[in-house]
Amino acid sequence: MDPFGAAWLATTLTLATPLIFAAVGELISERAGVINIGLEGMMLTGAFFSFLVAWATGSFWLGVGAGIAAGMLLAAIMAVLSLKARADQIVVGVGLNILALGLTSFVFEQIFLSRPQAVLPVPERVAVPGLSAIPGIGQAVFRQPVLVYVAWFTVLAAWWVLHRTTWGLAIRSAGETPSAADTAGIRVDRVRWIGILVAGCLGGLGGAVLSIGQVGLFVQQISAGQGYIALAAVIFGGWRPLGVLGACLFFAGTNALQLQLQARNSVPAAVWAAVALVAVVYAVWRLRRPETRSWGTAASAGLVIALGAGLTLARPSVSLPSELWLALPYVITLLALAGLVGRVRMPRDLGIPYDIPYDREAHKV
Amino acid sequence: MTGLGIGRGRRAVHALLVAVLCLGATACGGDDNGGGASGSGGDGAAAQKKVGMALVGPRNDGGFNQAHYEGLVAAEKEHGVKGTVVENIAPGQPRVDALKNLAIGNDLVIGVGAEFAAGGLAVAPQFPEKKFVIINGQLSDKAPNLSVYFVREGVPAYIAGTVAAELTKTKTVGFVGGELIPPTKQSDDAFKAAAQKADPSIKYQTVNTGDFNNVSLAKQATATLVSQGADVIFLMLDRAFAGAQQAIEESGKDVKVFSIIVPRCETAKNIVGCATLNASPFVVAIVGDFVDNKLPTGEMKTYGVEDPEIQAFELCPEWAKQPALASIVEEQTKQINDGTLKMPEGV
Repeated sequence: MDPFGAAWLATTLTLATPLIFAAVGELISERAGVINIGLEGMMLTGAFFSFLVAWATGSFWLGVGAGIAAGMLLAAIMAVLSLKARADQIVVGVGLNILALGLTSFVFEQIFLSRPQAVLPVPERVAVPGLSAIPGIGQAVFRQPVLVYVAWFTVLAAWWVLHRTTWGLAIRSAGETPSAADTAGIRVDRVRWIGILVAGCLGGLGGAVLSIGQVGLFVQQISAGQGYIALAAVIFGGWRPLGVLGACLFFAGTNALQLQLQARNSVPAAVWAAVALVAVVYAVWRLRRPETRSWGTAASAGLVIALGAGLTLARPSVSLPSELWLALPYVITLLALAGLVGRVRMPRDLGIPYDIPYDREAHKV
Repeated sequence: MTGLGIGRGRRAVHALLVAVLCLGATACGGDDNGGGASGSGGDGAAAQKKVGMALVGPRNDGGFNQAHYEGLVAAEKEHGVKGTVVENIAPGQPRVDALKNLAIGNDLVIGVGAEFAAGGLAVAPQFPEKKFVIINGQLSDKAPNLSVYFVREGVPAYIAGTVAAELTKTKTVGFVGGELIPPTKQSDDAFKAAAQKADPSIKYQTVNTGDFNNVSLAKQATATLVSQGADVIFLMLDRAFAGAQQAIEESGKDVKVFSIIVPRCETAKNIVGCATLNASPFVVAIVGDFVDNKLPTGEMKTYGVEDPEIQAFELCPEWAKQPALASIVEEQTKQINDGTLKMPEGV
């Protein structure tokens, strides 16, 4: 069976959905100039409180709302500390992650320690008429829970807002040149507040997907570092909505692939072919521009292409240990980020608090 | 706002940040404050021995960790010791730190699982006056105060493998494991060896998620195996077992599973049997050895299936009614115990 078949696609979409929500939220926050390391904590609190409310009320959508509210509450704390108090954004984010971990573990134990494990029903899948009938991939891609479609819509909405609205212009200005934005009458701190709240909202929603959206239960530390993966996705995506979507799908796809590859006795030829293809794409991307062209790039890409092509044709029976496959998503993440160092440009004032000039104090900005 | 107002406001917010971080640090770690194993000490019972237990997962995971925690609670009653438990210890340095912190306040430190093997080797020599027990750990000449009780979890998995060969219709059998520790590998190897010995035509597939409690990944891993035709799967998972079962349910296929540690027969009809580990008498026995000063030194104390009170492979009641399956389990248990059936190397 092809490792890149319908099962792989279905798993990719499932794993990508919480990442997409969290990463798009983080994108908005970072484009506004605030780096939100507390995203992991927002996902975790969103996961817990969505589960708690869904369990208590029996309503999935009330649970989703609670997850969003919990993420936004944590985001509000982030905003107060980083924007009002001008605390270091990274320190605040780390503190919030610790708070979220402790809070959710503590409350979970208080309520659920003495009870049998509660498992809630997961939402039904919704088939897209027509598209779900496409042979091969229809059922895998176009028969998903509603929140998967909402995630894709969120990406498109983020693109449209950032690039087609004045509000998006304000967000981008607040992150690039806040002094110019301020001069133009944009209230930079207010824009950044909203950016952080959006991150909290979508981070909490991503957490809700992890708990009640996909498995119907909560375990401590259910977010398992996905907030940090989402942060990496924003960088890998070049701070662009469609780039972030691609990054999330890439990370989820490699994670889904390692599950497929572990289950096989030898590495399929399709994997070697994919390695060669990625090397070709990378080589074309790097060599087409004079400023990124180099003999080193050409040689290394050529070697990988030759190796991949050779292994595809030879089809050796090679079995690799599980540990290697488990590490694969993280190794590829590191390689991807390393390859992009110096080649993507972050918002100019990311992570730098904006101090309102003294002569505008009278206008109560 | 004046500069003075901003300064006051900023100080207040800094104080709030410190308070929030302190709250978070206090709430982390999961020291028990409730019933059972207690987190507080120093109440004047100077002669009472203190036992600290470190768990990699939550104490209410319905599996490995919960079984050992309940053993500590039972040991408190039976041996009059005072227990402390820390849970959800993340990989790496936190596991070393957990053992160190427990050693400071306890006379015996129990690290539950091979995940604490390295930590035991590092910490035990630093506290020569304390006793350490690492379940499924490793011994060292440099740590004479370190004892290892090794539960050969691969042995019941071997019996499960033979049962799996009897049950599979698609001739494809799978294994979903969590963290890659020796018991996981032993169970995987044993399950595979037995299934393919009974029927060499059986195709075997393994997926490890790296975490016994990652529900989402276990669900995807199980879905992967089911999509590739596996109709009998050994689920070496704790909390993540629920995720695996969800994947099977959503597939709509007839897939049978084995569980570990705690039989979950009443939760689903597709659970054929369990590699049970009754950690309660096991932990009580360990604490009893400590209290009587009889902890093993120099060699591991191992458990296979010779004592069904501690470890066994058991069929769920409905499946035990099938004579062929019941006969396999009874016969193989007997042969393993009398030495006529040898386990694969490393199991």
